[in-house]
Amino acid sequence: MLPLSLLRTGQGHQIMVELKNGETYNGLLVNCDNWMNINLKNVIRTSKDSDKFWKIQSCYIRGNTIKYISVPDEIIDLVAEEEQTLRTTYQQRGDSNRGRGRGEGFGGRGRGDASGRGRGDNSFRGGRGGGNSGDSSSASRGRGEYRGSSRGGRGDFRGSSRGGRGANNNSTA
Amino acid sequence: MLFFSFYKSLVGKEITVELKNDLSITGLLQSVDQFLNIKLKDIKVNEEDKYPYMISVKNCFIRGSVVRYVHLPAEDVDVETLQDHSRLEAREQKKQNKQHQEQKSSTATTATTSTTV
Amino acid sequence: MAMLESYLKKQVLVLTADGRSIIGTLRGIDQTINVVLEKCHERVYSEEGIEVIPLGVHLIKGDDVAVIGEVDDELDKKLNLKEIIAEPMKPIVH
Repeated sequence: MLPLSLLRTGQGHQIMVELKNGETYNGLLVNCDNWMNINLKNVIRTSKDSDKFWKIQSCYIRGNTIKYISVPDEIIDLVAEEEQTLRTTYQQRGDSNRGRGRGEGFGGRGRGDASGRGRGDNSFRGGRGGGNSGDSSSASRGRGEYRGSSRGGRGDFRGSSRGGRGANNNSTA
Repeated sequence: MLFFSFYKSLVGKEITVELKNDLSITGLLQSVDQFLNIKLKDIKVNEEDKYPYMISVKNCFIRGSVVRYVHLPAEDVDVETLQDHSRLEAREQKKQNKQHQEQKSSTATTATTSTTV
Repeated sequence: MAMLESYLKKQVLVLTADGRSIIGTLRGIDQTINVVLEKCHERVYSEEGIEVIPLGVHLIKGDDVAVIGEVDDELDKKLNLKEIIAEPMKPIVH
């Protein structure tokens, strides 16, 4: 399990972040990226010696200032579940592809026929892949599609939180 | 890259790694990577009573960036080969620099000729 | 990354750059040595022996990782944490 998958799955959950300077930030994880830059909302910031506290509506933390992040226990299970569904979708797709491949092998004895159909198949898949890579750089097709669906959800989430942030712009209390 | 290869030639030998937090760990070098991260086997922390943090650890991975020194067994280090390779690498570095400069100057001259023309 | 794969799903000890020692099950790693520990706890060293602080799931950034040790469970069970007295570990100073 990649550390960043854990964080991605943790979106929408409460997390605690400790920075290299010793401050901690407790809040709802809104968004994160591959550098571990993160967006939190409804945050409580605690000073290094835990003697001062601040309430912050939302904040952005640059990944390279983070020392560690604590996430709820159940996130690990969620990641495991997602990986499992990924694996089964992969498997299913792999089976159907293999099935089709075999069909070609039987039916299309002529080479031209087989390769022609093969290409058609590829371009179809390519089209799908292109759609995905259009909205992000996902390497593998299967994952791209899977993420695509979840990304939609996240997009909504992001949209709403952005509204929130905009409304409470200078909210450092 | 030279020291990566050098470390690889020491795999299986006993070394002592001194960290930037003053901890010294002795063990058999198991593997090393391009960042000079090190894996040690059958480790022992020096002055274990004072530094008991790794009492129940036998094998460990050490991040290359936290290493201050590596103590090597003198008999396993072929100093001459190391020197030869250092010279070789230095020479190659020089060659590359020279090529770089030549490329630069050639583009510069073409630039000036084109302006004069 | 390949180097740490053999430690996956095992009990490991992470010594951090700021001088903490954290023990837990290694669930994930990446090429920057970011580490995911499950069911982890911190061991705090002082004159009164080792205090154990439960932490849950922790994602430790690679920058903060100094050493990852494979814990020998047999050896670890035999430890009497109250009797191990040592100064807190020093932080890594670059």
